[in-house]
Amino acid sequence: MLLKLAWRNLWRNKRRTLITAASIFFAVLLAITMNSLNEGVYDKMIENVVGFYTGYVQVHKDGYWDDQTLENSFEGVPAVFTSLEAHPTVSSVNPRLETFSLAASDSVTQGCMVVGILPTEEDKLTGLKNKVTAGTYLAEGDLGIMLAQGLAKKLKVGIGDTLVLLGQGYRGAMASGKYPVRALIKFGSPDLNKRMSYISLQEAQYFLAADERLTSLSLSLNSAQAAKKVASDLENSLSEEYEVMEWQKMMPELVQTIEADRGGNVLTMGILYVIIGFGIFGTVLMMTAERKYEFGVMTAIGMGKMRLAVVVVLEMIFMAFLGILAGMLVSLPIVIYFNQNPIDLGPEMAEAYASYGFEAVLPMVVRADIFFDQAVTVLFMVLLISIYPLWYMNKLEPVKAMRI
Amino acid sequence: MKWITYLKGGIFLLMLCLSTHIQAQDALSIIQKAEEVRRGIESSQAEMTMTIVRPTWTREMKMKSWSKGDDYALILVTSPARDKGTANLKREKEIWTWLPRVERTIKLPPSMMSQSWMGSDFTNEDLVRENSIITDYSHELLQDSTIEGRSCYKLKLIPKEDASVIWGKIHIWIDKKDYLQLRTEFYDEDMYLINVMQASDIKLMGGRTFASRLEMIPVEEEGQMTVMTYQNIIFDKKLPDGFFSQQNMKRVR
Amino acid sequence: MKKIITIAWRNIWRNRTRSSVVIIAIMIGLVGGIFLMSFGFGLQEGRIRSIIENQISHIQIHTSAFLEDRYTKDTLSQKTTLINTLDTLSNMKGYAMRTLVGGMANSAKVASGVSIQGIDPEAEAVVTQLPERIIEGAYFEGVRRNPVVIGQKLAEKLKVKLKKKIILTFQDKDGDITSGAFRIAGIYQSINSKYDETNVFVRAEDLQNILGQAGQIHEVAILLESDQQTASLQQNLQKAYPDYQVDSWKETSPDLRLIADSLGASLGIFMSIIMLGLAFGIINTMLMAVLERTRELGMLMSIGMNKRSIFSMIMLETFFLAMVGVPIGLFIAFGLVSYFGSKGIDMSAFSEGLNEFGYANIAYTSLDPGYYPQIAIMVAITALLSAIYPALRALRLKPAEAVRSL
Repeated sequence: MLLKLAWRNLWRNKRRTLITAASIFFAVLLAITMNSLNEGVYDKMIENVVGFYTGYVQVHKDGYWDDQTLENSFEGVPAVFTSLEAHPTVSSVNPRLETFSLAASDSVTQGCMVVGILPTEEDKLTGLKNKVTAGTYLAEGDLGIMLAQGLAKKLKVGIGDTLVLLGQGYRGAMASGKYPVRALIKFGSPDLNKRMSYISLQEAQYFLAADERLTSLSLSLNSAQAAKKVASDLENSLSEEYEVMEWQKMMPELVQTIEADRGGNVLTMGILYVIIGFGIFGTVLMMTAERKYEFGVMTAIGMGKMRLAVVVVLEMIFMAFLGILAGMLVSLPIVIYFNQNPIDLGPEMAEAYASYGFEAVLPMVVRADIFFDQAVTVLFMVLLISIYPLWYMNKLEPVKAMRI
Repeated sequence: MKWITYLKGGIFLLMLCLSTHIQAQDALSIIQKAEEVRRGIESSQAEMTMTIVRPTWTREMKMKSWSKGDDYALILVTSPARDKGTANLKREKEIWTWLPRVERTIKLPPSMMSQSWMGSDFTNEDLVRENSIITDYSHELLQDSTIEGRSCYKLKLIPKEDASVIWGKIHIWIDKKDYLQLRTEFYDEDMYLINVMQASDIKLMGGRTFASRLEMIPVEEEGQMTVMTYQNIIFDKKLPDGFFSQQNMKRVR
Repeated sequence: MKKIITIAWRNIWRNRTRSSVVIIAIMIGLVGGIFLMSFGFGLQEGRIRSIIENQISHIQIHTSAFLEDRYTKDTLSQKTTLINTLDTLSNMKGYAMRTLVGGMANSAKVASGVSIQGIDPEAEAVVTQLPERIIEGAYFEGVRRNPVVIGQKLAEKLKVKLKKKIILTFQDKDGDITSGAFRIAGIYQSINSKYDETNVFVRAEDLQNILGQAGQIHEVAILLESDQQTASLQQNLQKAYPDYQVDSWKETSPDLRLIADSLGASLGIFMSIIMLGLAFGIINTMLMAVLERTRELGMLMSIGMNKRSIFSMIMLETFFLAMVGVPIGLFIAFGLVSYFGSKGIDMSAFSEGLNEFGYANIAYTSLDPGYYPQIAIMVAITALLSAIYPALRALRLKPAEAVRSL
């Protein structure tokens, strides 16, 4: 009965209803886009950093992460690959064998990281091929080496020069090998730029006397958000010999940076909420003022204040749903658009970002939970604001109200 | 720690004249005596096996070594086949490596000094470090004890304040008869035992009484140690300084 | 026109609720906008400043050879003239001269690669506030000979505690390996655990003794009163010392520059979203206001007021409201920015564990005064633009219907 009354009231003054709903609609729209942008920027940052090297999830022999030596490598048996690839979210598995080693040119000897890779797989995961600035990317079975620019500079070598690697192989074996420099790679991170070198996986296994052995499997996922879940799924399905780590565990500092930044965003969101909240409040306030006469009449003809209150709250809820639904519907294409066509930060920023290997764009993320959370937040805001008309009605004296 | 000097330093049989009239000695003179015994070796030439023991595997390497005084040493790997021909040359504070597989000589950079030597429990630095157990420590004689059936002096060495030594203290057991350093315990500053080095299988080799087995045990790593055993050793065969050259490192067999 | 102004002015005072809603909407928009700007800038400035003041300083001087290869022999030979130049500078908080070598730190158990910084503890206290980061022990005190201050992370790695000895091994100017025993006087912790793991501090003279290079330095770091002088000082010094490489923080830490630039970009986008929020709020409120006044406007029309006048009247009303809301908003915003600029906002409430990570958990607002009029004008224009649509709606009212409607 009251429901019906509320529903009718809404359509009695369409324009008023639409304006109120519109204010809610805008609130939802802005909250969703702002949040999608925030999260999108974080995702992009994670994608950039994680895509540099680690991948979203890695599998190692148990204990490797804390003690990264070849002794903590494992045999890359097909069964492991099969069970990893069986997970629906895992899109590819990239094996590596990496260790610290000495690189010696004719004049300089320098410590570096040697990574044995499957060139095609590695490129799929980290886009390594695009980072080549000179020479040619390793082909399958190539016996050459690719060096990070900074390392090459330090060693004073260029394409075609020969480099000697000297280190310690698996189980104390002595490791040495001679490799022609095939390509120079530019990393955005100065740290990686100073110490990375790549040879083919097969060659690395021979060089380190570690046949068939791997230090890590880096996984690419269909969904970045799923990293934690995939890691725990795999942890359960693989035997205890292995450890599975998601990027959050491997790069706590990135998590910290984002977490710290989020503090600032909470405040930004807070300011936005105040502004859109007041937008809704202003509208409701005016609506209430406009309906003063109507409320007066209703009370005068014997409708209890309590019942009237319920009707008004119901109206508010109807309008809220209307506005929220519309807001979500309209946000969706906007968010999708900016997800596909990220906001470009312009050529000046592009240059700064490019030196880090980043794209200077701010994409939005399309995520159901953002839509839901923001809808709930706005709904809550509307309910809070409905207190005003209730309070107003409560102190209303029907006789006075009907006098205009 | 200086296994290389131990290798040279086995011992001295012919110091009889000295050893006989040592009775109640003070700690310093015992340690000086042991060092004299060790340094008394002009040069040595040996064949040995190094066994690296790890909880899940062991690895054996055969090598030949030449040494002269404290400053020069050359070590050649003869097996396994994969590493055969690899040579290490120590000249004073420098270490050079010859890699036959890539035909290159490389000088070990300072950053690698604290890394493991050939995968063993010795570090590169152990080869070149020049701490003197005489000048860097103050010495104290503890109660005598017996190791391998030999009566030993037991000494406690405490590093002097400004000595660049990492240890908190060292215990050394020195055999009373031949002044062999039979056991050495290295403690950190909290007086936790970190490394134990012990010599055993004492026999007559190359004309001297010599501990032919040397173990290096990092105490905190369970199931881990490095063992050097000497198959034969020749003492005081003349070697020219030129023997310890980069050229010779490539040629020596 | 004058008549319309009078009516508009009276209208504002006739319905105070309505007017105050619009005024408050404008005020909130203005305060929110300014506050957000100042907060963003404050955060950015704070981050940059903390890295400049704690780590890299405004300007660093090295020989170019040292920057390239970091050989011990590449010292700054014009040290005395440098000191003379620097001592005459005003607007400078201080400068620190350092002797730097790369090497190894050894404990009984572990060795780890480190960069050894030979410093003057007093100068360093001014230039990088090192003593403030000491979490255990004391700043070069409590140890008689060769005190060293190491990072928490390195202490963990080497498994050493306060007052324990570590051996530092490095190359002297001839490339020979040399070493010295140092005792841990203090343990520090910075934001960056990687930095803590790889940087140890000793007294310059202790290090120079071992190196056999008395008084020789590799690096001068200069901390200024404010970043504004960086560029000109960098130029002057570079001119005076053409053989040296004089770098500002932007060259020393390109990362920092990236952070600075990208924050500016995203701030602009957030600002526009906030402005949109403000505009929608005002449009809706004004629409409601017009709607509520249907009867009143109808009356005005029926007594012969033309559409143009009605439009101008509504716009004028908004203008007046903006004139009230903007100054009040500016005043409040200014107060808030100044207040939080000195007292800071405790961010730990918003971001869990911020402090744990070592990030400053107090953010200080800061805004260049030039932004106030800009934002004020922007908000006022937004308000006026927002009023156009409701005013146009009002024109479409039919007087007869409008009077009847209730």
